[in-house]
Amino acid sequence: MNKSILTKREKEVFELIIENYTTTEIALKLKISEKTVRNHISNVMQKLGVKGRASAVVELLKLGELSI
Amino acid sequence: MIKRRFIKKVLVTSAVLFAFLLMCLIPNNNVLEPTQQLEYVSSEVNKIPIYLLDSHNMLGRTNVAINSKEIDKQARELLEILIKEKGDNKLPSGFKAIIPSETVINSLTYKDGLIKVDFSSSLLDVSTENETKVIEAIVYTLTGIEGVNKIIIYVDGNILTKLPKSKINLPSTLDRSYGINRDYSITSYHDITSFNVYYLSKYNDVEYYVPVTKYVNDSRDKVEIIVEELKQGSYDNNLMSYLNYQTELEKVDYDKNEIALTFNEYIFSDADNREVLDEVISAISLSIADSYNVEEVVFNYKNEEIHKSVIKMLE
Repeated sequence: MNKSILTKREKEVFELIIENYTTTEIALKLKISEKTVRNHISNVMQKLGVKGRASAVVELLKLGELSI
Repeated sequence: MIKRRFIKKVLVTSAVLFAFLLMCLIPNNNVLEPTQQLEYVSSEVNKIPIYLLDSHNMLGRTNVAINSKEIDKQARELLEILIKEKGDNKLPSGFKAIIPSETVINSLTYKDGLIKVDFSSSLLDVSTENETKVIEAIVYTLTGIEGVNKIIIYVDGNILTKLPKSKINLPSTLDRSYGINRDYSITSYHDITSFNVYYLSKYNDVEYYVPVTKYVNDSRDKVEIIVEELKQGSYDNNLMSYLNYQTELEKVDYDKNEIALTFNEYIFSDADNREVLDEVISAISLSIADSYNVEEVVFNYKNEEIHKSVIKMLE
């Protein structure tokens, strides 16, 4: 089985981030709170050891976790 | 006494010369064995693109002569050239193979655009530096065969789902969206797009193209960004573009399997003869082909067609 470093939810959040969804729009689409969206993003940045969302996206692209 | 010595010397010298002359005149029946093995090839040879490591350690697009006509056989021939030491006699000058030399192709099948290739475990001996490149070389080479869109790589019967050394995830089914010679220029998470740009490189005056998959923040159509990138050129001194920086892409039209690009007068290298450099045509056409599902790229100037590239005929 192919183990991802992201949880299913974290992947869903970032897939919407690269489609230009705002935090509010992501929360609405996934039916979660904005605070939860921000937590997911923050967790991923911590896992990757990066400081910004853009850096997180780059690392996830390089790791094959996200695709354009 | 002196006269006798002189005569003696002349006689000895004459005898040696005569003996030498005899040796030259007597036929030599020894047949020289050829030092190289001759390879007999069919008169029908196809030139097919292959992606190999160039002298700057980037994957460059060059061509090799392939005898086979069937897709699966062509694929096998190409992969064997990619295996170190196996296809050395077919490597173009300045290029190197990348798959570890002990690797064997266990099996290869083709159906409905998909190639499934099973390698022996020696494939996993690839270095950390080259592990991504080996996947890129296999994917881009095999999808360069007409009719092939996707690849699944197996190692001793198991689908390869991670890179051999870093264990970074790999998609199970690979195609050109995997990228090649990747360049990340992302500063924001908005409007991220990716596309291939084909730059020109040279080895001993022989030109070839190096595709670079670029990741940028840009919301424009990919064709506009590609032309812009070729106008700006690359920061890498080994990668060149001949597209004039004053060239403007004025219009883009899509029609079935064709994309038509209308440029201003700076597309011409010679305005009087209305000539467009082959290097410009190829770079734009190859770049477009990887981002758009088209068979032809038309170059226009003032509503008039000045050139048409047929993608599968590009060298």
